[in-house]
Amino acid sequence: MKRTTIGAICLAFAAQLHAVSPAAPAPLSAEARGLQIAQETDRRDAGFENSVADATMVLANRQGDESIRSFRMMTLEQSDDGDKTVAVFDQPADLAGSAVLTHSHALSADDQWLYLPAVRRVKRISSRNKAASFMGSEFAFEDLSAWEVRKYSYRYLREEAFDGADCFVVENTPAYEDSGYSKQIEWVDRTIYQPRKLEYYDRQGRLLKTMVFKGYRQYLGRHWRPAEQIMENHQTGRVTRVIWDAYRFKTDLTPYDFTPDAIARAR
Amino acid sequence: MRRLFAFALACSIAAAAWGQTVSLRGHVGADTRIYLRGAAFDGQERAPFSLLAEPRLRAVSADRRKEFLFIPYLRESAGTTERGGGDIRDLYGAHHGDGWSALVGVSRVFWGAAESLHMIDIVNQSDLAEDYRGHFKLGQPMAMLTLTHPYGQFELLALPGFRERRFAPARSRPRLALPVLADAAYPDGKGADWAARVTFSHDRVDAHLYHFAGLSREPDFLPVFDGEGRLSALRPSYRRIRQTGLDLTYALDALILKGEFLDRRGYSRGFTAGVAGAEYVFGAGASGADRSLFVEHLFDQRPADAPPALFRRGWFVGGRLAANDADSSEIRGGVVFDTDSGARTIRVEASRRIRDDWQLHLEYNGFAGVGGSASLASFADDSYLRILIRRNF
Repeated sequence: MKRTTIGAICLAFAAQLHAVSPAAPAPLSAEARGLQIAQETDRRDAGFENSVADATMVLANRQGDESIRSFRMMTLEQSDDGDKTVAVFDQPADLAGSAVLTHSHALSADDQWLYLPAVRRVKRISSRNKAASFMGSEFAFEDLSAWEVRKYSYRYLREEAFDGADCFVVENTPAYEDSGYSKQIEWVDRTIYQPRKLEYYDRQGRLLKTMVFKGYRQYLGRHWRPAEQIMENHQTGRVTRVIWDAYRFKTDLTPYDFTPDAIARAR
Repeated sequence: MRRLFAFALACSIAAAAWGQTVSLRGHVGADTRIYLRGAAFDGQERAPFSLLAEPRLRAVSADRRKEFLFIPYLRESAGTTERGGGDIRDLYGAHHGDGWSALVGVSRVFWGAAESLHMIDIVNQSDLAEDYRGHFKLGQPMAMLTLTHPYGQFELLALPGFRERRFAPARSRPRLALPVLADAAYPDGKGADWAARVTFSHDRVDAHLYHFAGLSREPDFLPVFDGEGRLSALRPSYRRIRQTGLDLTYALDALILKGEFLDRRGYSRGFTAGVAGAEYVFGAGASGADRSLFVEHLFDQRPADAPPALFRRGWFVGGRLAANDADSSEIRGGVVFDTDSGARTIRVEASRRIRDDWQLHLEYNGFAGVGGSASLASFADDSYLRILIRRNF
């Protein structure tokens, strides 16, 4: 039902021009139009069942020093609730084999567990860490959690081209608690209904980060995924790039692979 | 031990030849301890220095169904071979099917939910030469069958090859006042142990219930007298027990309630013990750091003929601050107060990564007011700082 991966993270929208035909008796409100774009994004990506992709995160500070994080992201599509994801880490070496399981929910707090291989322990962790940095990167946990239509309220702003693509520009306001953001402004490609750019505003309303999506490719004739996401933090000058590789869909993953016990067995 | 390592190495080479994906990860490191006071007993170490290694060789078949894992642990101490000496933490083959999993070999499992003490964790034997709290475990031979369901699982374990507890050697600190003899007593005989456990995990609740029948991992001690009738040593004695354990975790937004409880039979009377408390998570501040506070209550109602407990009744108060920075800087610690004896044990740990592959770990273990505690009295002078540096690969 949704996109996952960091891509999922990113919201989506797109307005439907054809839905609002010139003959329509009353134009949609900006809120209704924003919601419609989100719903269309959701509808278009539904049906992937599950996916696996390899991520390489490159963290760079202002001086240009780089460090690498790599992990495998597995996603299980859920039609009646938020998606389930497992991230299994490979780099840095001290975290190799550790894993984070998230059962995301549209309205209630996500459920989250951490597997620590050194002590063979699966620990429930609080989903109150939404605004915390993911492994020291410029991504927060909430930027990586599975996107759900109901996690935000929407307001359509305008149409605008970005990076050569015609986009709907929509404002998303988090409907869940503990978000680090007051709002996000999203550029949704009106052809593929996927985000091209996302601006994050902090709780004080200042521009905090910008994420840009590059290299979209379509899989199984239906699902668009980016090859790269670049997150820039305007307040610290740090940049995190995520490079996605080896996307696979409809694999042999099952609900049995997305339980707290299963992440201790993830290979 | 050497022959076992050779066997394990042969298995590893065979597995590496068969496996489609073979990885060699792990770490090597060096550690030292700085004691804040002079030793209580003659001949105890002053500034021990050890080299350690824990490589991890894993082979996984192309379909990810078959897995082979080998993790030896090696510790070589300067001037003495007493602390550690090594262990095979894991050496197993496993098959992961649809809704089931089978494992045969040596492995480790963790059972429990509490932060301060791991009271109900029973499958693996403790390595007290590594850490006085017993949180380091020895590999246990086992055959384990797991049946899984999206809401939980059922595990059945056969545990042959009982492992005796590894005690801190005479030179090491902290240690028991009397030497512990190597030849243990088995008043109820030996034989294979078994355990079964069910898990339920859904929404905000994680729960595990197990039953274990077999040799107690904790020994009680039989006094050994010298020729003049003086108490000179302790002989560990492992009784057969039956233990039922339960742990529960309930997530209530910022509060995570955790508890673990056991009921043990096999001594003059059955008894219960447990740890229950909560973790409060403050959420990420402007810096993106994670801050948590822990409070737990501990109780242990064991009779006098049962193995000595580290704590009888008390409280744990602790905290954790994780910076969530690129170096994964973290500091965590806490105090356990035993309200029966007045003993306090303090532990503070700090760690950070250095240049991607290195890690620095500092750990302070303090003992205060332990004179009245049967199990901690000999630790009175042994507060120490441990410095560990690791190279991960």
